[in-house]
Amino acid sequence: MGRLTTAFVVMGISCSISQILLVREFMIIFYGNEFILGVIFFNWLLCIALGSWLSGRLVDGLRGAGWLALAFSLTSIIIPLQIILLRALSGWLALVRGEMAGLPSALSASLLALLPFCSIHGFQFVIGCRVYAERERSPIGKVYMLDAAGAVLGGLLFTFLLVHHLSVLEICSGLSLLNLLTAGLLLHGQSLPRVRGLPPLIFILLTVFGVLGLALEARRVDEASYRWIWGGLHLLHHENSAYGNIAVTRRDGQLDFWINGMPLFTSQDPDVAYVEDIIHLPLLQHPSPERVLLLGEGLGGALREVLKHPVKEVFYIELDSTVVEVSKRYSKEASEILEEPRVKVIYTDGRLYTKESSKLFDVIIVNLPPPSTLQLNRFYTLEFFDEIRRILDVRGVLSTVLPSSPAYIVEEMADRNRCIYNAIKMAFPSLLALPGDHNLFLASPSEGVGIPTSDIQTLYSRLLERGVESRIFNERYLTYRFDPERARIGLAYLSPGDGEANMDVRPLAVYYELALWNAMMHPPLRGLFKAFEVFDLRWLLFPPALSAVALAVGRGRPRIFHRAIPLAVFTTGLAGMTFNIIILYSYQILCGSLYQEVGVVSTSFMLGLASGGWYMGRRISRTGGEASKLAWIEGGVIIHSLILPLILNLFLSRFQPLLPSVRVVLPALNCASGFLVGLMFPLAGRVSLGRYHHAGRVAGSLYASDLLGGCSGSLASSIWLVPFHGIQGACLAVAALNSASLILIRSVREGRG
Amino acid sequence: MERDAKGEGRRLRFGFEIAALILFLAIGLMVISPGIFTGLFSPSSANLREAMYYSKLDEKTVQCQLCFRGCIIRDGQRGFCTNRMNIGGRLYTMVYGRATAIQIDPVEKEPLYHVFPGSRIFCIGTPGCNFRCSFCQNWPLAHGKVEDFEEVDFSPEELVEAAIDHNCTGIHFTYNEPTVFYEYMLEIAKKAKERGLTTAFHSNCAINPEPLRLLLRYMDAVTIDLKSFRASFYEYVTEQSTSGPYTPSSPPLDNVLKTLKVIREEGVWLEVVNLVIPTLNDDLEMIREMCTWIRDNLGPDTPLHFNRFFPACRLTKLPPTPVEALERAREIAMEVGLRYVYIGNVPGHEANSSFCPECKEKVVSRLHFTVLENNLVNGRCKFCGYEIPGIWKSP
Repeated sequence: MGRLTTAFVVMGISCSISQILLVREFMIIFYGNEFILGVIFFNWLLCIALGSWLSGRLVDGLRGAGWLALAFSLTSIIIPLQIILLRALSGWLALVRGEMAGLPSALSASLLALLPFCSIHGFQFVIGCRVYAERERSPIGKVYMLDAAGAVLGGLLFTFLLVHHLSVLEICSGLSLLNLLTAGLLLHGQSLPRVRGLPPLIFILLTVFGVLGLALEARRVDEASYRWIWGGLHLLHHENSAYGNIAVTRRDGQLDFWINGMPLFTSQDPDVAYVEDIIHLPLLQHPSPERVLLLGEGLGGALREVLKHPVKEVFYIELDSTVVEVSKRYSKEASEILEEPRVKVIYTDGRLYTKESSKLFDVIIVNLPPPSTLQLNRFYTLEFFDEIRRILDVRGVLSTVLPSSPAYIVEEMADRNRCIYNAIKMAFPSLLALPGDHNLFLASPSEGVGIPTSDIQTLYSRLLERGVESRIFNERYLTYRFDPERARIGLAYLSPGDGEANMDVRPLAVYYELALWNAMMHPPLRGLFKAFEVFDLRWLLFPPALSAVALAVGRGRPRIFHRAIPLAVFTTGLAGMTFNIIILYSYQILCGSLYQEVGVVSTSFMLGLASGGWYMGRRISRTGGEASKLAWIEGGVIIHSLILPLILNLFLSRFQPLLPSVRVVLPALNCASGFLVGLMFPLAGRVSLGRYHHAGRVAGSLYASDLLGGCSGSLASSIWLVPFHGIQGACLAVAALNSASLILIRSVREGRG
Repeated sequence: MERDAKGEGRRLRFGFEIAALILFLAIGLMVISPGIFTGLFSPSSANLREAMYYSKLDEKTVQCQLCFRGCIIRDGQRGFCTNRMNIGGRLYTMVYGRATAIQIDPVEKEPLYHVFPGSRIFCIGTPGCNFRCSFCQNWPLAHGKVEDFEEVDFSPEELVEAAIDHNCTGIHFTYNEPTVFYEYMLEIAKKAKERGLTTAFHSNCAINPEPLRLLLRYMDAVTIDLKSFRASFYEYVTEQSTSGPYTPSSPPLDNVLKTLKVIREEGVWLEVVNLVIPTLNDDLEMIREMCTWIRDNLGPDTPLHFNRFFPACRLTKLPPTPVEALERAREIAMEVGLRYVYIGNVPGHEANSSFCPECKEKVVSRLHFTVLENNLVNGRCKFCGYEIPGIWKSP
């Protein structure tokens, strides 16, 4: 009994930690925008769903413990191998090294890398249910609950301990050992059919020695396999911080710093034309900039350029202290800049800083990549610009930069830039846009004070007065940059449109950024995002209507509806994932994306899931499962999805100061979402078991439905529902889908007996 | 009895599921289709012009003869560049009048360093390209289709008029590959010459000799991207391995080199750009071969620009070119005997300026793409009188 409990907790731990590790590897090899991440999560859950569904059809004839032990020992081999496999695959993913890999590669590589681990996980789940079925009234709920509890433990372990001390493969080999021990534990003292012959013996010996060997050599294997990703570049250093993978490469004396496989900055010879332009233009706008705030990358020349002006303090906000430490260690230039007394480095989340800062700034420069994730989008929203305005001096200047093109603009890029432009325009009375390969938006909170100005003479005299040494600026450059004809052509795209602004509660810019990326990577799929736009909220009436029709047509033929239970599990799984994404995102908007806090918020969902499962399991063992309760849970999910946006709005609405209670309320909400979803699964399992009596088969198909719901929910809400329809729209969609299954689930009671 | 009911139920459920699916899809498509398909199926016929340089293979099939790809295009289909469409056995260009990209730039941006330094030029581009470089700076335009952009219609006369109104000295065809709007470019260039504007284009040199010779009659200068001196790199940027029916009919690099020689023969001013991409085409031996070829076939007076690569489009997992690598490439080019070798995309670099090969003085001093000082008098070095080739004074 205790033995099995341990085993399933270990399964949960292995699963959650492997997931974190694999997603990190994927981030380095691919490009971690919301789309790719969504696809990887999708595949993760899909593979487990596939595994559990298939094993559901197989296991009912198998004897439990031996097979379970085999599954654990296989897991112990796969955990490190999948990381090594993924690194080995990295070279084949793009046509040439250096190219960003698109969806086809992300899909195929993640399927290939995840399938072994995930399908075995699905198998473990199902066979576990089989084993428990012999002595429990709610076997499916039990395994579900233990798995979730293990996931909580794994998440906490990684966030607070492992990430800071161990390399990727060291963690993996630790997990391998744990799984191997579990396999041994399961076999110990079992009355098994005697396993005879050489092959099993060889398998056991190889596994044991392989895992032990790896544990001893983990760091070296890690180092060697990691270098495969960087083929062709001379890798000086690499390190995993809590936030991501930081690497330093050298080529011909040029040092390049990378974060998650994407360029972060180039020391010594950065893109001067870009850096000087985005730093000097805002600083020249201010007659005497004394206090400057820099959000985003600063070591690739940005800080150096700021210091050429007579500023008194530059506040440089960096989330990840490891980036600064590594830069200091390798780049002489970076360390010189950081030692300069005028530079104040603050290690925190930029959004949190703007919310809490009591200082007033003369110039605030946002130098961040375009909003390819919900997290990045927090620096491009109306609410953010409101917060910036609060800490900007009345004569201050805000500068935001976005990639563009001087001569033409493609639809997706125009949409993205325009909704951000509209957001700034709503928050600031004065706004000046400059055309070019990047659009610079210069805004001021005052009207009629000549800030921002297009007067070349004023700007030029400031440049001379301050003695700024520049490699691009002179009078002619300013004339060119402020050429009214160039502006008329290059900015024409900003004026039309419906004036929609990018907001925290409706992060449109993410949607357009993903559409743009998609147009670049997969021209034939360009219609995809346009097609999404067609589905507005009116379409939400469709699923409940369809269910109602089905109910009417199928009345009196109850067997038609034996799919209603998996469907209900599917929609609650979808709801759970969507709630989780929305709450995590809201938390990052309000409290920043500090690693451990975010870890706690996401773990609170799993905690809710585990306790929901536990609670329902106990109830079932006392009273037995009643089908009518399924409808109650569905109803709860619907009410939750209607109330959630209302509660979130209390915290997220414009000009709302940060309430301290949010740090408790949001994790609690996430826990509640998990709890609701956790209630559903054991009950659904019990009700189905009462009807079909094949524990393995039922567990397999239900777990698959839950995971399919989860993976569709995570993909749809991260790339489409939340960005395009906003938090409210996404919650409404969840409510609509769950109403559809609520309508159908009523047929289950009718069908009883 | 029990069994029959079961079978019936199952059939009914199946039928019901199929019906629901069809209903859902039908309604969905009805709503979606206007948005997605109209652009695809009805390209504005007002903009269609019959294309030049194609041959009929049979009643309904044509082969485009404009560039080295030689696309064989069946009825209703388009060539690789997506700009040339076969309608009923005749080839039409879909981009005549569609100057989607227009801007006023300094001539140094092209780059053209030996043509009226510091002048303002009127730049024109359309969607489409016959290459698919993974590092394209203008990918939304070059890899896009004409229907992805807002519909515009500018006659050649209007554009020439606009260029003159905006005090531009010339009209340049750039941003995307101008070959893919050949007929439009040719008309604009003719009109521009009539009005005394200089004309130039920036190309990947994949155009065939015959159309090129006609075009050059109306052109003063050309900037050519020599992307590499390795056939394999050209196969990569032309998507040779995946382009199916559009597989180039001759090896791209050979074609480019042949075409470069045609430009030299025709006596039109030529500058060559080479984008040095770390790990992909920064091999110094290759650069030496390329420089030697340029010296022997185009002449040592041909300006060569080594441009710094920055991550762009899909090629974002490489670092920018180290400046040292560009400097070494320049040294090699000078060693080989080329006289005017520049380093581009590195603002503030010495090799951004022009030096007299005779007295080594700075004859045109540049900062980024602004001209600080011009020490040329009638095309000669102010200090020693050495004649620097180029287009320095109006005809």
